[in-house]
Amino acid sequence: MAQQSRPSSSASPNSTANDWKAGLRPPPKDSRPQTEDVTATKGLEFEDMYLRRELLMGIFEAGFERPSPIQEEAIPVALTKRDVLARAKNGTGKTAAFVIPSLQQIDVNKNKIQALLLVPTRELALQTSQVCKILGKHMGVQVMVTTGGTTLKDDIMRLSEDVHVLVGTPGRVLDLAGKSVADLSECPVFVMDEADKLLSPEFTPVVEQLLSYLPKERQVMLFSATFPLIVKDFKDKHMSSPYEINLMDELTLRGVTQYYAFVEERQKVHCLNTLFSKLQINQSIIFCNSTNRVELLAKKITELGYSCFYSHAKMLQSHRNRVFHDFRNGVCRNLVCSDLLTRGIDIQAVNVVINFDFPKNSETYLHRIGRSGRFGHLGLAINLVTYEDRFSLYKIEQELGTEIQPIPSSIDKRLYVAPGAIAEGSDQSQKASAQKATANGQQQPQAQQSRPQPVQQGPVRPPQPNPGSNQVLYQSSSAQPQQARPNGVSMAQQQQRPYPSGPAPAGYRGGVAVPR
Amino acid sequence: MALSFIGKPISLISHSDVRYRGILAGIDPAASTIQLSNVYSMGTETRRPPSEYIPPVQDPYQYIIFRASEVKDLSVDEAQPPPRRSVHDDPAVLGVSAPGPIPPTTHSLYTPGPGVSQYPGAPAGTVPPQTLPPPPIQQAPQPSAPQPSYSQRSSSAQGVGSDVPSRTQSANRRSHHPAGSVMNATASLESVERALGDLRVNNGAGRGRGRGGRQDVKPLGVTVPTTDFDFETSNARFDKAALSPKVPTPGENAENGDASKESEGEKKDENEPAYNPKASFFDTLSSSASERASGRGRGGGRRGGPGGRSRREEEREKNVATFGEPGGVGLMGPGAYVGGWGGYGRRGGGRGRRGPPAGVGR
Repeated sequence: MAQQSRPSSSASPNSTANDWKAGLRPPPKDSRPQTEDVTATKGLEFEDMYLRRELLMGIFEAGFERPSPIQEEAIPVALTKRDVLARAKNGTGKTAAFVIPSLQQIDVNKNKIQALLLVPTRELALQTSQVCKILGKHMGVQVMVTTGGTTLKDDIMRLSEDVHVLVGTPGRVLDLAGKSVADLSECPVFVMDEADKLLSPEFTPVVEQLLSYLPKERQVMLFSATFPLIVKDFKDKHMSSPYEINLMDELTLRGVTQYYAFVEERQKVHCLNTLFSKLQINQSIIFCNSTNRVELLAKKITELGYSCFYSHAKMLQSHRNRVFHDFRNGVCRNLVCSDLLTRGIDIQAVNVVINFDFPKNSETYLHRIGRSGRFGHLGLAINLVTYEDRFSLYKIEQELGTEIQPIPSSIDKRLYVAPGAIAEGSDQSQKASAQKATANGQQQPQAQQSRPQPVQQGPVRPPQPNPGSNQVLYQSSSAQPQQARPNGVSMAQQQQRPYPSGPAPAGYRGGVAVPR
Repeated sequence: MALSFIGKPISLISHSDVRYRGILAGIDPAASTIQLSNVYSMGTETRRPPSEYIPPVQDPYQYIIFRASEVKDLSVDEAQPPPRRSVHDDPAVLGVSAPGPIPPTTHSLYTPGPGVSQYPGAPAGTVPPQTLPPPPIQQAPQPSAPQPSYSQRSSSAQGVGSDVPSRTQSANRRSHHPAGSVMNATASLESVERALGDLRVNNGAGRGRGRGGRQDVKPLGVTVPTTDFDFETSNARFDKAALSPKVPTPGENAENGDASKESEGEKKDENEPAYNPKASFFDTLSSSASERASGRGRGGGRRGGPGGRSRREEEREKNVATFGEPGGVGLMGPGAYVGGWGGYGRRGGGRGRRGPPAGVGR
């Protein structure tokens, strides 16, 4: 397409004109160790990619330093406007790998949708649009996010203004395109993130219809960590000699240690309670297999004296958004959810994923445990496995070519806690429990005491007064952890705590982290 | 808001005028049921003429699910002192008259006579409380009488349940509240009644099957011991290695799940793994899509018959095993899945309900 009016500057590393970098304020660095899932690069720099300066500014200001392997592979190819099929592990930088080339191809002086980024869930749409906005900040690119569960009218109003990049879920985008509200006729870039999910039987017809609104000359890019054979049909039908990028020699992340605990159904809550008290959880995501179970478990966890959020597909969208937003900002340590949040969700501070209900298939398992160990960091995946789950366990291990070990009686913190936080963590919890003890003479599960340390996400949010501070539902009192209060008493202490602004005290602070 | 009363002691009067006291464990608008745990049947007390008297039952039922349509009245009870058992335990005692300040029981215990048949008005399928001929004497009504201690965690094994006798008539609500229970709350009461109102609304369609006298009696039993869960001992009971293909599923014959499992297992061992990047960009991992497809292909991959119904029941059972309650309703109230962050509702905030089901009359 017509390239932008601005000169695309490729600042080479030793360029003297580096003053444009001076004004940038990237977030503090994330010093946590990373695995080769993200470090094994060829050494390409963003500056080598012939990106526009305004885009580079956004990239560096977001805290990106150098491209991850998938970014290194995909961005240059995508810039040639060739179709791309790209496969890389969970949390290794796929989002930026398609957002950057998409943005590079935008002409901001042209009032047309020039890139359509499809994702399977609403939360993921929000997250992806946020990445677009941050990376495109200095370009003046207009990004719009549109999903189901919101008012169509607002979307229509928004589309009367400039929109260059449209991020959304298939149903709503098709709706807008079908009403001729969203004009995709000059949209040269079509990306599907979590492509295999978007090409599952329920989405495929929608996606195919949507494609008919795009021009014949378009670039189609598919990204995911899993590419089942069904995607091949789509590829043959709608893509022209796509460039295949596969960075997955193996399926699972190196940084995620997987354990199982054999339990009976009725022991699950007890087991979880013990895990809570023993693990040094920075933030955790706990998966259940149904929405009812999500709610029941959230209630139970609250009764046990821990705080948690929950989210599932039957909730109002505004509530889902709020939970997602607040959890990401570290308002609460634990999130109970259904498979709604299995894919793509990127919360750097999550170091533990618990499958309270063991998933039935490998794809779900893989994406779930990929919620920890983001961007090559370390994390734990703990699976509560019942006798009924035994074949699923076997099947998943076989298919993924991985081993899920029995959980040891004590788990080495080095496997999932950032080095700086190991010592500090115990410090903190002691402090906290001392505090607690004076407060109510009760002992407390330590891991739950302090707030999670939010890791700076790529989409950096400014510190802000925490809107939820006086209305935290599943934040129950730590005072009576032991029993059967129908519901927890509110915990004044926690509720009053302001949003953690400024430097957070512990090891997770400071992280940058490359948004994907 | 009714859901914020979960865990509270409730008195429930059925259309056959039997009062049940128990802990509100859940309300399921879909099935139009109300679940109580640790339920004592108080009998008809004084709501029926002596000739139709149904006596109370001494031992609690673990868990009873009531058909909402057959519930005449609900009220929230104040916590009560533990029951005074001694008298009742003595079969020789026919009745007790109020000894001074101590609230007397209205009820007596009768030894069930063999051959005494079911009480009139008790529907088929009911396991009636010990049934007897109507008592000769009716004691002074003392509705707030014996209060069992509601320990939610009690775990005596109990398989008995009682259904609410059916007598179809709609919401003829009498405001009978046992003395001593009224105090807690007009507000609470309203809420519960509102919830009940909702249930009735929802019930309209499904009314037909309401009469079946189906019983759901579930064990209640999720306690969280204070000790740590013993991972090692627990894992020792599970031999993961034994799962390898030589000792696979017991059903070698092609049953739904097993078949796919085996075929996949074989694919792996003999041919190629589910994912081999050297051979193909694509994988053959099991996925939710493939699961669904194979389920459909094989003609109802779900055990236990067509449709989601049985699966839902399965889940409810499992939920009771895991959590001690079946779930099936938003924590914030029937039909309102209110999100997991806010302070709405559960602690008595006023906003629990969103998108109330039609017909919420307030």
